[in-house]
Amino acid sequence: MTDRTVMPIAVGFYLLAVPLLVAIVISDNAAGRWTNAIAAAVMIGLGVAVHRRSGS
Amino acid sequence: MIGALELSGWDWAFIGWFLAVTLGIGLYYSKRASAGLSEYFLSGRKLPWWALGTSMVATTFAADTPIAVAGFVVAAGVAKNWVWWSFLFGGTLTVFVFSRWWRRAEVVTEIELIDRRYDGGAARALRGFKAIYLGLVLNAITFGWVTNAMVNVCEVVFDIRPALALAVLLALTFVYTMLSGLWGVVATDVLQFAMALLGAILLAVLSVVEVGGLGELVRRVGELDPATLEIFPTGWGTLSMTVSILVLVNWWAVYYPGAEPGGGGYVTQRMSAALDEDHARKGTLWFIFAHYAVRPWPWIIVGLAAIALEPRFFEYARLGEGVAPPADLDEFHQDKAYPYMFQFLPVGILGLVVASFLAAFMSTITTTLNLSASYLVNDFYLPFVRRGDDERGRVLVARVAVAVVAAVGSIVAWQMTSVAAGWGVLMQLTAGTGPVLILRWLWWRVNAWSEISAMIASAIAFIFARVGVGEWLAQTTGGPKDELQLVFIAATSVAVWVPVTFATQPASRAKLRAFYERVRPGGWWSSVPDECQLPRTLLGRELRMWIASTAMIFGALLGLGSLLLLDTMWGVIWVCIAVAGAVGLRMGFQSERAEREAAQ
Repeated sequence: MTDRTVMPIAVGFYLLAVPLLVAIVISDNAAGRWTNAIAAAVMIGLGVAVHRRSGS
Repeated sequence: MIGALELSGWDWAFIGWFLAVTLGIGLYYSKRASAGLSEYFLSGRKLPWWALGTSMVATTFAADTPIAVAGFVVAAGVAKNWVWWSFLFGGTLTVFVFSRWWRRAEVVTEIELIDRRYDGGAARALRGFKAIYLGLVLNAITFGWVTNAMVNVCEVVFDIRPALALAVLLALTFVYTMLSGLWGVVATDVLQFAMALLGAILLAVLSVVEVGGLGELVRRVGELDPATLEIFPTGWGTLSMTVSILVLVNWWAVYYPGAEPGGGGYVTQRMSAALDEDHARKGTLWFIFAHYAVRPWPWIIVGLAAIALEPRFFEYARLGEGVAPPADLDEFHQDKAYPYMFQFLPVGILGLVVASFLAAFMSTITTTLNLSASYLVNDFYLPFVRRGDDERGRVLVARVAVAVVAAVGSIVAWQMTSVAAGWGVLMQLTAGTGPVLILRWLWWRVNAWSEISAMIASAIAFIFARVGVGEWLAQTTGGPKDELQLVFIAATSVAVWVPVTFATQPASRAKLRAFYERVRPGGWWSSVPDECQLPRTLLGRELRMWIASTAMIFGALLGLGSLLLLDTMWGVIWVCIAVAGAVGLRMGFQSERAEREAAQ
């Protein structure tokens, strides 16, 4: 797919990463920090993957 | 109450944020969806493989599926999952034999294939009947089932009155589904599946950490009952017989949504919406792989972790049917095993996991609404009712159809006290129709009367099965009643529709030629290929790829499971089988490529 039709999916992944990034900061234990960090990284990674497929 | 959550403000914020993002993305596609029915129901046939495949996986599980799978493990062990793993053979057959044919047929819905394949009054009546049956009856029950499942999740997980929460969720889902068409459905499905899978994996990892590692998990569960950890049923008990029958019969006989023999429902809709036939096949392969090999293990591990941490789940499940639990076990029903583990989730991830339940619910509802509307508009309104409207007018009709299905589905959800029972009835009613749905692609002689007689015979056999034949079979053989009924219905249906096929006229030669020229199917097509001056399609390579892909996915599913349960030897064996299947599949793809290049 090389048009921008799938771009909103990439934006959606980026937006869903935002609260997870904040949760890293407000977590009060190590498990909370690393699980939120992993989840945010996965969301951003998926966003980048879709973004690249959108041809932008 | 077990599993009832205390969400922090930040978790609620995440849930709200997720709903807002979903709504925003859905609405983004509304202008595009208004361009015409092809955009509204098929995304303009421009879906890439990864989006259509992920959308199918997202659709195929509802909010209560993780709870149900973890509950299987608690109640009867890992092997209980064969009741749905048994459909894999049919899924891979759809990928390598039927997906390209569906895409070439260029239908909007599976029902439209009736018009491509048959002619005459019987075909017209069959199309109209199936449009109403699948569009309103079956999908309204699906809607009701999924909504009732969400009610259970609200009660078990959130300990809240579900009416208000469901009303908000349904309203939001309805709005973006109605406006955005299939692009909106698919785009939100991709996000929702990523969240659901990520949430499940993190929950599984944290559950294992809480138990003390995989070794400790296996040790504790094994001490309670080693059979719980077995991937295959042991001995020749009821579970073994159930699984054997299901593996042998389920995948070709039963019209189960998402696993229709030969493809159907939302699987057909996504394949038809693909960029081309290669995307259709690749996307469906990704769907089957993710559905069977990727998705289940986090849920299974969470179920095992719940038993390891709280053996009362195990004790409750072994009480026996109809035995009232004592007071100290009352809270430990198998359905609470999955939410029990939520207590170990940190802030943020808890919000994500809860939102993933909403995501699972919404992704199934959106597809149900869009798909039902496609049946009602494409297969009932356009052929039987239409009065000279333009494309935009048809989209308006489609949006009204979405509203009608949502209204009927809501009434069903509201009225039915046991949707599961109703669902079981509908599944068995059409349990014998699978063979004709497969053979209509492969055998020129199959006609509209074949399908009609298969459906009627299934329904009549179902009635006989319910009034005594099923009970008699179970007592005579000592086997499981429901599965023996399934065999009886499937056999009766075949015994009726095959003679009916020979006793009635096939489709006209002109219709058969048009179908063959468009689809170029394999199988038994008499002199039709010669009349079309086209070569006969051989299925040898497709069938080898079917076997290779089945080995690959079963190998991955069972290899991953064996390794997680620390059965290294079988883990390695299954992984080797998966690798061998992957190599076989790659050889098939290379052979296809070489053939194409030679033809150019």
